[in-house]
Amino acid sequence: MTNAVNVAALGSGPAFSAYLSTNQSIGGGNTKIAFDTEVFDTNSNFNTTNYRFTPTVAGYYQFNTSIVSPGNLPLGAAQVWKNGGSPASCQIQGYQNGASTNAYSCSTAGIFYMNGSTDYVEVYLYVSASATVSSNSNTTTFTGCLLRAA
Amino acid sequence: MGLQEKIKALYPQLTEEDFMPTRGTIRVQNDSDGKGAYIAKWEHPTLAKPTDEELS
Repeated sequence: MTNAVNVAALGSGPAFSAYLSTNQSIGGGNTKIAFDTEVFDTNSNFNTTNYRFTPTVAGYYQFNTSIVSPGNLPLGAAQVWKNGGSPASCQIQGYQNGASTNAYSCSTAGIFYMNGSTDYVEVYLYVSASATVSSNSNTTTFTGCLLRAA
Repeated sequence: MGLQEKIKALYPQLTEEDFMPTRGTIRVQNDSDGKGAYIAKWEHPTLAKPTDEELS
């Protein structure tokens, strides 16, 4: 019976896909990527104003992000921060030490437990110097979905 | 010049390692809320957190 309940929750669990609709200029440091456009958001849990995903179903979620810049960058890290990046939070990171002068990208993916009420995730990009993030529905994206209900 | 660049100019002895996510002792953060960048963490063992005046 428990398995049946879990399968039902998973089948209707939250899933979202969002992207950056206009180029975003960022300075050195950690900047939240302004994913302001949704491709889909099955449970209305992604906020395009503060760029947070706050699922209302507890469970284990996979998150993926890919960030592209049109220029050369010396160093960068795509990061998914849970609950604001405080020391107690979870983080996943993908690093890129750019050597290309054409385009730059970094991505990361991971699984977090989300409590279904207050937990949220956001994407921050660390760069060592000012940069531009490309708007593109296929390349600068933030996606996630429920893998297993709690 | 951005905040991180201003900090590097004020303290030229800082390295990229000091700013690296997670393991760095300094975190400059911008929450894309229109308020701009700020120093979210300053745990450098010898250098004092710069004042607003020093960064202006």
